[in-house]
Amino acid sequence: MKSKETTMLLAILVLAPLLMLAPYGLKYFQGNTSFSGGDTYNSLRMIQLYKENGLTGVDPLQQRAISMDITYPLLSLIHANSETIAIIIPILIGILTAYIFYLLLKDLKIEGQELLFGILIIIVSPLYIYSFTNLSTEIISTPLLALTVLLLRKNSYFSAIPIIILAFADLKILILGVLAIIAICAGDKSKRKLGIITLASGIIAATASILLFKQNFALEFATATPTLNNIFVELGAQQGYSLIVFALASIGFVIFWNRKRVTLTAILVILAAFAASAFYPKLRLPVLFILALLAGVAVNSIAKREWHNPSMKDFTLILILCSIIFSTVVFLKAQSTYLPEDKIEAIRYLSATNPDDTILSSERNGYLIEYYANRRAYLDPQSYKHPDYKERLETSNLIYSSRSLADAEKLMKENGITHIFVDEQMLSGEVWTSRQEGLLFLLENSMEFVKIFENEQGKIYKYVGDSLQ
Amino acid sequence: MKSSTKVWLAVILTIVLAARLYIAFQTPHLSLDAYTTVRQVEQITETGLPLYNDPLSYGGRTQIYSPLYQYFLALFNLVLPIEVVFKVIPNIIAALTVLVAFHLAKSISKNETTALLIALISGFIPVFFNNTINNGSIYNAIIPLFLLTTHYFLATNKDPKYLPHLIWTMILLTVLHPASLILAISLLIYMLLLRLQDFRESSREPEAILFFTFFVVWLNLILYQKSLSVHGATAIWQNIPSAIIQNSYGSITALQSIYTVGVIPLILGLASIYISLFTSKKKTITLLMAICLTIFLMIWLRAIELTTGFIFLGAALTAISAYSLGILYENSKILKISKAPTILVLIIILLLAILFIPNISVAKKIAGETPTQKDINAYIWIKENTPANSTIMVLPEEASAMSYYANRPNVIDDNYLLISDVNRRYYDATNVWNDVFITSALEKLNYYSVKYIILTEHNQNTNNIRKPAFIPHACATQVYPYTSEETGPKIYRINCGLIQKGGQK
Repeated sequence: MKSKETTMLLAILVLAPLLMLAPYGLKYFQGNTSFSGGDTYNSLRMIQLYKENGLTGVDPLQQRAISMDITYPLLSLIHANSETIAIIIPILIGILTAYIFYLLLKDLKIEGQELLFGILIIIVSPLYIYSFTNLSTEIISTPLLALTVLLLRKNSYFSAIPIIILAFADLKILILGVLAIIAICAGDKSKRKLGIITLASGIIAATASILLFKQNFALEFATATPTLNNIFVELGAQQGYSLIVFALASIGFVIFWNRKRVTLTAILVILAAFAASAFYPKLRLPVLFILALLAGVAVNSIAKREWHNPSMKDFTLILILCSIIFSTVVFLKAQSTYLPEDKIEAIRYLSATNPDDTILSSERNGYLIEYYANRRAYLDPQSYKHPDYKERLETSNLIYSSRSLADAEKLMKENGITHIFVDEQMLSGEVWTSRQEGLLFLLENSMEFVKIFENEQGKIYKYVGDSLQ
Repeated sequence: MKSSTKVWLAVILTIVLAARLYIAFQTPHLSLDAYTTVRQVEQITETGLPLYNDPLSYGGRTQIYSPLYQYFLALFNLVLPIEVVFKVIPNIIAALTVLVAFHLAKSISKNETTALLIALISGFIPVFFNNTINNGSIYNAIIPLFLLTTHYFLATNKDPKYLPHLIWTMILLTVLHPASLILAISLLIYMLLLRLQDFRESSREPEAILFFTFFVVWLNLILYQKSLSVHGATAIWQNIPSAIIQNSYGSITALQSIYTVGVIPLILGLASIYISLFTSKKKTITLLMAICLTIFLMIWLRAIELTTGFIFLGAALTAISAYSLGILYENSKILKISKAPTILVLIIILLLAILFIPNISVAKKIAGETPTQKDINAYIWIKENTPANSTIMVLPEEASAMSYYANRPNVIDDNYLLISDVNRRYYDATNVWNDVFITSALEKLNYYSVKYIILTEHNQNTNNIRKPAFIPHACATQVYPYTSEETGPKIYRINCGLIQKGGQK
């Protein structure tokens, strides 16, 4: 038993960082120095902003209020270069999170192979690797949530501390925490008093956070479109579940249900959390820990079951293993090709524009434009938290679809847009589905637009209508 | 099995095979949709390797497919001409459905006469018969294998000696085609239905289902990972242009659907489901019900191409029909009519004949949708008289045949996977003929670097056009035929390009 525990800890300490470093290793061999995931670029810029200006409420580049998130002020306290902050810190937090999860599972009396499989599934999951190679707010809020649950399970009054911090980090994950506390209290009467204290602390802290910092509270809960393609990694999602882990978790869920070891409240919380994670990608990391536990139960059950044909059992287990590894390898390969050097070169070229210029591109490219070019992006992945988002989105769609120079010019002038950055993804369906569609026709044929840069990964067009007049 | 049954089974097999071969050899060429596979088989015959990097399809693209079926056909292509291979071998395999259906029906109805009737019906499922005769379709192999896997799954429940057979058929089905997903989903639904109907679960069933499900998921993830990452969940539609899907779903009436699937299988199949649900529950029927339900849901959700869905539905309904037909046959024995069972058999055969005979003309028509000899001559002219890298614009359904005979790149053919702008390409290739203004046509033709366009007889007859709408124009010169014939295929060379901003052409 002791040796198994040692194996598990070794797996956490050795395998996890190796897998998390793999995308960087693969990129390094391709001569690519970019980070993984777009969020990293925004986080680095925010951390730098906090380092330079202290606690500030406004983003001077994007000229908008900053949504208060304790992650950035906390990380700004670390005196290290951006590579260390973007790569090492998330990996360390990732290892710590896996370790907290390990302690939590042990506390839940999940032991032996179930524990081993659960931990291993977590570590090799694309979502875990993505989350902890990407400097985002989840890397703080997920371990805080796990820590709250662990401390509550251990009857420690310290459980109030992580939930208070969590209230200032991410309200959506806080709600998940509240649901988890309710599930624990429903299953164990002895935890109710502490549960209420923890809950009350969380709710008070959340109220303070909303009153003090969340200016657009409703927009914090803007949902993503829950399509299969953005939920499962194999179908193209970056921050998604692996299909095979999901399938195993479904089997594990049925086994758990049959065992009658969990309360109906816990089952409802699991289902609600999974359903909510389809709409809120940030919830996927904490939900992954539940799925991994269920998947571990399923694998253990398959391994322990007496099969009529033992070789079929071995083959099935090998298939499961291969499928999990395959998903991980495919994900690592995709991550290693994220943000090619050519694209960085194209975006960096934008820094030659005037500091007041605004760049129109896909929301996806927003953080990169802000980080590499230090220019204002008309839309970025944070835009949805701001009241003028709908208007901006509508304007950008009107510009993209406009074949009338007068209309496009008017909208661009009104919004101060001077440059348009077009990448391959925008051309292959994200914005346009055919050549010469909408604005593309104007970009290619109108004298008012000049292509100032082009390489394989991007084209930059400058609006020169004013100078022609 | 009685010796007379064996004789009757051989007779049915011969009739089905003869009918298929008779129609297949009514035309000297293969159906237009056969040529993608023909090119892949010929590549394997010549080089021993599948055609994964196709320089002609879409002007050069990566093909994604499991090459097992193509390798199998290539074996015969070593000794037989490609047309003979495509007309004979797939039809022999398809005719084997009769044998599989017989054994499956026998295990359900426990009656050889009923099983023979089901075998006969299975050989003449209209949608399967019509769409698989002259195109070497992979469904010729998939349908019998699908039914065989189902048969072995049911047999394994009763006798574990069939387990190795089940494993091998499962592996073969999965390696051959992603249609194995239909069976995997059906088996999961079957497990659910077993619980709902309070059946005792055999301990072997979950094992086989677990193995099969994970094998299907793993292999399809590996084979189709690229298309999944490009198209996401929509890869299930094989990236078929929306216009084609809308046409296939929009142009069929309920009555046509019933006739296509087969009137007898539909009536008897529904009767079996009714009896199983409300009168006497039967585990074997639950599995076939799960298969029917899965296919029906997939058709309803448009997660499968309509014809393919009907082929599977027809096969599944035929198999499930054995149950009600068996009951009908047994009940006919207690009727106070002499030789009532024989009369019942004769009625079924007569009904099958009455319903199927009109279908022969439909089958002949579909099998006869081949390139005409004049079109083939035009393709050969292109091969002999145009530069090797000239891209040719032709209708999407004819493009593989053109590339096969002319050895020239096309703009779009009928393999749509991994093509990002497939709807636009499809629209362009089907509408360029109607462009009245040369600028509009040139915009399309220049974009795909088209050097020649060919207006085939097939295009002329299908779309009722005699020449592209922008002709005559100096930018498009007719180069074939040299005479000013009104009919027959015409080839035009594109001489112009649109001038872009900055004077670039």
